[in-house]
Amino acid sequence: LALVLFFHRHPRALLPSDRLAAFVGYNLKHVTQSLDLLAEAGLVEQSQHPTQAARLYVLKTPESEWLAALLEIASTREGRRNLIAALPGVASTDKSGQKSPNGKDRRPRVARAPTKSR
Amino acid sequence: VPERDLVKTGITGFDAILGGGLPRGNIIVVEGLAGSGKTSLGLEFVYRGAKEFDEPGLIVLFEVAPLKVIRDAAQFGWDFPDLERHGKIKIVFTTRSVLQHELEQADGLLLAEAAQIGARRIFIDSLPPLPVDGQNGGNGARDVFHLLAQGLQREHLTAILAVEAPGVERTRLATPPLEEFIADTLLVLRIQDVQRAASRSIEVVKSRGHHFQMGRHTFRIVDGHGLEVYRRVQAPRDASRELAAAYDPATRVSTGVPGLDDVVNGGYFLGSTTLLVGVSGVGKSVMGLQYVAEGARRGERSLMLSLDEAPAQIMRNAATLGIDLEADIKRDMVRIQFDSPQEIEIDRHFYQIEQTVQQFRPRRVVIDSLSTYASTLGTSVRVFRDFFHALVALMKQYQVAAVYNHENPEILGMSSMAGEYAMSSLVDNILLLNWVELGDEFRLGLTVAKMRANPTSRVTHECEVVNGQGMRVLPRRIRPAALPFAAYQGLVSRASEHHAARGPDEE
Repeated sequence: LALVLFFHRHPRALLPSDRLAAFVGYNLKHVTQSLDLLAEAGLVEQSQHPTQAARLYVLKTPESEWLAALLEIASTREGRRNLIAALPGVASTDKSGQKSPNGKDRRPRVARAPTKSR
Repeated sequence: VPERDLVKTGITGFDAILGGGLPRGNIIVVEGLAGSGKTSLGLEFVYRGAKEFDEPGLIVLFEVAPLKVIRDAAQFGWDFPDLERHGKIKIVFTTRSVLQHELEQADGLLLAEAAQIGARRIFIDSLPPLPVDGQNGGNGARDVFHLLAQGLQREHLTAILAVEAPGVERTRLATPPLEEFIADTLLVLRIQDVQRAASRSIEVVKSRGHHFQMGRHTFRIVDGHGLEVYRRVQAPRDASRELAAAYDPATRVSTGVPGLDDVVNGGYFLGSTTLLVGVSGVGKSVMGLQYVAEGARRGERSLMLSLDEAPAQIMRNAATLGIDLEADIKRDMVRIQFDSPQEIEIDRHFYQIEQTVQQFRPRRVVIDSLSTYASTLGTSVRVFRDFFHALVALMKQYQVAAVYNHENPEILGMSSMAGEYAMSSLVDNILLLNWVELGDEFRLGLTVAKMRANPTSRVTHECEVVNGQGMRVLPRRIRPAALPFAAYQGLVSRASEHHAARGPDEE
């Protein structure tokens, strides 16, 4: 969700993934996983130069209605918390992306775009 | 430089200062403090290029989120998302180190993005101030900047680079910051404190490959539009303005004041500059209104420039003289341009006058009053004189017969015609309006102190302002009960005296 918010504010970002992770405030491993999910969902397009660490991330559906609704909910801390709680299998998350004491996986997940995701 | 090689910025007033635009391919560094307008300038450069000149552009941001830039640009009416949809611009968020690496590679992702839309312009916002050459790693920074410049040039991009300036006033350093060496064009944006107000200025410090107007020019960031740059009033205009000072030796413009045309040889010449000097309340503005009304009556357009009174008040004053100024305004024969003297920016003010004169093409102009300009411009006599000089040159270029009211603070007598403002040499005609205390009443005297290229009689004429009619110059002998002026001496001194001998008209 933090990545979606970031790409909404920065629809075309040319960044190394560690810098992107720092911008969104999560560790690199989980940001990389989430990026893969976003790319798989067709929400973000990534391109990389063979000799460059930086990738170009382009938000593919910057003006869709569902994204606008999602961003509105996610614009507050409370909204984000509620949204994450509503996702199946995710209670809350922290910056480390570690599992919670009860053994549930607390890594951030990203909902797939409902349409034209493939 | 041929016209085709100049890149127009499209920023109002700026291309004229740049001699038409910036040479294509130049690396332009814009320096200024935070809030000085660097981002607005760079964004408008790219926006105008894409929108008006079919030159797509790339915007590279390091600190500000593109979404905020898009939001802020919308306040100026710049629709960046629409331009993005049409492939005219791209906004890329990145880091400085990534940009550096990108520009070192001919096939980098950033340049590929630029090539995809055929970008001709790029704006990079922003770079930190680079150290003085040779100090604190200055040589290394110079290499980085040089690589950056080479990368941009390789792609034939005309680039604007915003650079945060240190928080001190720029001085001519023995060793200037190194971006000054490498940049082809250096623009400095400032915010100056002017008597508790703030004024923005832009200076083209250097620019390779073309002629430009040096000095600090005022600019504003205007909601719904963008930047508006106003050439500094002192900057030399084109030669045609100076050459246009030639007089039409035959055409005169009637003053509209009964009896005055005879005193001034039939009227003022076209293209002439007339100064009406007198204490407050003596009738200068009344004469101005009559001058304008006479123009409207003859089908000649008039412009009134007022700092002292708002249009509604001027129209009311005119009505008391039997002049229907509102009707003349509706007929487009008269235009009133009012600007509050509070916090006036003289470059912008002059620009607006220039625009009006060029578009409205008046034959007559009344300026009410020069003394308000003088007090508004504060202690800078030089700025006032430069403004007045520019105004006179403008009026001469368009062959306008201009009348300037000037308040002389002395209620009786006059020790100088224009006070500390040495402008008499710029003026063709000077009419002195003076109270004369005779017996127990103030009477009004008018003396032509100067009239270039005209025979001048130095006779002081009596005038009066009649309610509902305005001013008129009286015949030299009119009132049997009172002695005519000719019966006195020292009328324009503080101590007029009755002649012991009889005056010429008393015989």
